[in-house]
Amino acid sequence: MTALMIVLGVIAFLILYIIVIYNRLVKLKNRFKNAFAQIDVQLRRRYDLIPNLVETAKAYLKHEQDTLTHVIEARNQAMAAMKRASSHPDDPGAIKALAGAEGLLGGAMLNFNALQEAYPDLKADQTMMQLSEELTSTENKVSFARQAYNDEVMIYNTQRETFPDTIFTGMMGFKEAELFEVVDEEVKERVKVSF
Amino acid sequence: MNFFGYQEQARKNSAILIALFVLAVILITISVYFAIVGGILVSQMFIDQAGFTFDELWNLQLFFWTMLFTLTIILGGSAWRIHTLSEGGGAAVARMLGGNRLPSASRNPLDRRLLNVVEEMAIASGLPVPPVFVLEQSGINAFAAGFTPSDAVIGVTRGAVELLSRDQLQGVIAHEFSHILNGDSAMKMRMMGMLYGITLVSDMGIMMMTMKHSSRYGRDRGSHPGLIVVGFFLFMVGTIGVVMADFIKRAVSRQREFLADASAVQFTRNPSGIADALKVIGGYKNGSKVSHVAASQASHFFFGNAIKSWYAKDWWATHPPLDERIRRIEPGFKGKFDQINYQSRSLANTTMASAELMVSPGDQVAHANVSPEAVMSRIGMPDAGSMQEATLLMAKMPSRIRDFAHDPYTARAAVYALLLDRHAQQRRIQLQVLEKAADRSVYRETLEIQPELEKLAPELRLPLAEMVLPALKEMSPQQFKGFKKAVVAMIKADNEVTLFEFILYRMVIRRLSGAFSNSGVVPVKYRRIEPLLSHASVLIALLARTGHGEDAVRVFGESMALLKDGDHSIPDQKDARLSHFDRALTELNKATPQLKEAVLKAAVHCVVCNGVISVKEGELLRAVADGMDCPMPPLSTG
Repeated sequence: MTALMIVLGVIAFLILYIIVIYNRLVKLKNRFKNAFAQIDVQLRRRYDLIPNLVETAKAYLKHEQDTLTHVIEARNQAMAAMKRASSHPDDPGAIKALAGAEGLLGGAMLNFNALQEAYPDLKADQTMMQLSEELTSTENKVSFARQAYNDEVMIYNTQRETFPDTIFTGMMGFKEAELFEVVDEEVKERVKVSF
Repeated sequence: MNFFGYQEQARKNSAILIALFVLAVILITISVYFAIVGGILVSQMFIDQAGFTFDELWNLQLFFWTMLFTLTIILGGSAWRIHTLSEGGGAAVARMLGGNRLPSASRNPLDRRLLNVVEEMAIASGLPVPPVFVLEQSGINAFAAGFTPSDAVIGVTRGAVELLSRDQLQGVIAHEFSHILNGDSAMKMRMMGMLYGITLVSDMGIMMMTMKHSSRYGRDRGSHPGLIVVGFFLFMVGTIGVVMADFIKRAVSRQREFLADASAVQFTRNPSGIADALKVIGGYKNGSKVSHVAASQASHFFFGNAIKSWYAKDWWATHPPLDERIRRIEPGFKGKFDQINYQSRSLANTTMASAELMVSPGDQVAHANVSPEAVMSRIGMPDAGSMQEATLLMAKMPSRIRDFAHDPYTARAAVYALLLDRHAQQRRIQLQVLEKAADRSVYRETLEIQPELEKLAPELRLPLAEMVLPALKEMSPQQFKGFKKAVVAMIKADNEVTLFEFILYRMVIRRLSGAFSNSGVVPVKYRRIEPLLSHASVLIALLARTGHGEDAVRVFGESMALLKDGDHSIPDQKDARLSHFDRALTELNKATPQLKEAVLKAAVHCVVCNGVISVKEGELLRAVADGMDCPMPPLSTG
């Protein structure tokens, strides 16, 4: 009788313990998924601003159509990647794809900014100045939101790899989450622009 | 009854809750025992083909083991739940229900409308603006959760966001705010933690029956047959716990729903808002249903009945029936609900919300009412006057500053800029410190918003400090640490902590700390006024010196006499340090609601006795009330 009770007790304890681990990971996962919503808001703002910027620049940059189309294409790709990522922030592939698309967009924007240097009229345009200013501020906000997201992902990943959680994570389907890190295209792009 | 009375009642309800909990544990232990004995006897009957005698029903050793087993599960489960809840606060409940936090910078018209309604309501009641979570559910429902105003959150279903008009939404949100103000949310958090253990036995049963047995070779298989039998047995016994838990929820929370409905009407002075919202729920095919695994655990948090089950008849539900609630607001209601069409209603609301974003709220006339009774009666029970006041204040807030306050990135800059001193000398030192403590781009944003903040009307400074909170709660814990460090560095920069700096620190950092670290109900430590007199005199002296100059000693004596008869000598000015003030507030917050009421009465008398409230006095008074978790609506300074 006693032995049976002890066995039952141990089973009950194990089940409870697994519930604790499971709930803790779910909580942390929800937190980083939720943090993505902030990035989403800011990126959306950024993707709204870029076409306006390009539209304003068009009047001055008649002979630079290539760069402009390039920016718009990169923006559209990034937007598509974001839509996918924001419905599944826990999918490492989606986040990686978004980071890649964002990197390309960053590169295209750098080219575009370099062009501005060559056209002082464009740079002095009131609307242009205002939009650039807003874009810079939005970019800062994006990186702040990204930092918050990455912090939460780190907390989740660390917990996921901590013993004894790590024994169960695979079984329960908790995959490692991807940090949202945009590859800095600055160095690569600068070479292109300089000729 | 007033705010303090309701707080006291909520506290008494917690005592009833504990008594019911103990009763439930005893009942469950006994039934688990009989279920086991019954199970053994039945199986023996099949094996031995023999009957049984009644003395076989009692086995002390078996009873002892059953008791140990059930008590461990129940108490362990409850303790763990209370621990996780106090760790995560109200946000933990919202996330558990599948809620997503609305970014406070959101530009979606319907989301914006919801955020604005919540913000106005918070400013009107003097509560820190709570973060808003949206549950992706088509039913119309809402909830408020949290131990203290610091960790409180508001949750709203997608159905409510899309189907309710602005007035109806306002009614629902006012109902939820009343739960925070009356101390119900704190009580419900406790209840949820305790009841978890009771329902755990049944949850374990369900889990055993449905557990996926994943094998190394890929395929998922069902649970082991043996586990299914044990699971079913636990589930059946656990049902007793589930029913008991529902009974407790019902006993404790049903009356409070009527109270919250009534407060919502008083608050918005618009009975049709909440009554119409209830009617929309009645006429809508999904009603107030929330289909989520955790919904039954949290059913007592919701605005309307979130779950329907076989025993959840009207008289048994956690919430009173809809038509009864409507009739209490609109006595003539016939009980007929109009059918609701989702498509057309949500479209109409989106159009309205988009239009609303274009127009700023119109000017309304505020009432100047400065009698001590009027100020006291509004604590925790904002009325339509407070609503008007809040709308008026919000209309005066420049839109640029509002945008700054709604974004976690720039909200920090707004706080830094608020901290900047008026004197150029001090300001330069502070800016040097900030440049080192904060990152460069935030520093630039601070410089950008600073001139606008300097022009800001002084009575808007505290509401702004309340507005930035939900955005700042979106930071990660690491980011919060950095922010806190920068704020402290700025305050200490000029080697002199001003009163406003101190108030801002308490309102912003204390409120944020409550959300980022453990929270929980502040335990009552003081039931008599005597040990608190010295703390109270620190506050009253500060208030008297701020508002009355030469008259300070007389006003101080008068106010203190309200607390306790006899002569009171004003503390020396040299002893009036902010650290004492801080300690005094922390200690006073541990008093019973009645004692808090007495102290606040004395404080209000001290400020109002000459009939004028200066902005500085108002700020200080509200900081005192806030420090004691007694939200005070903005005071009109007229």
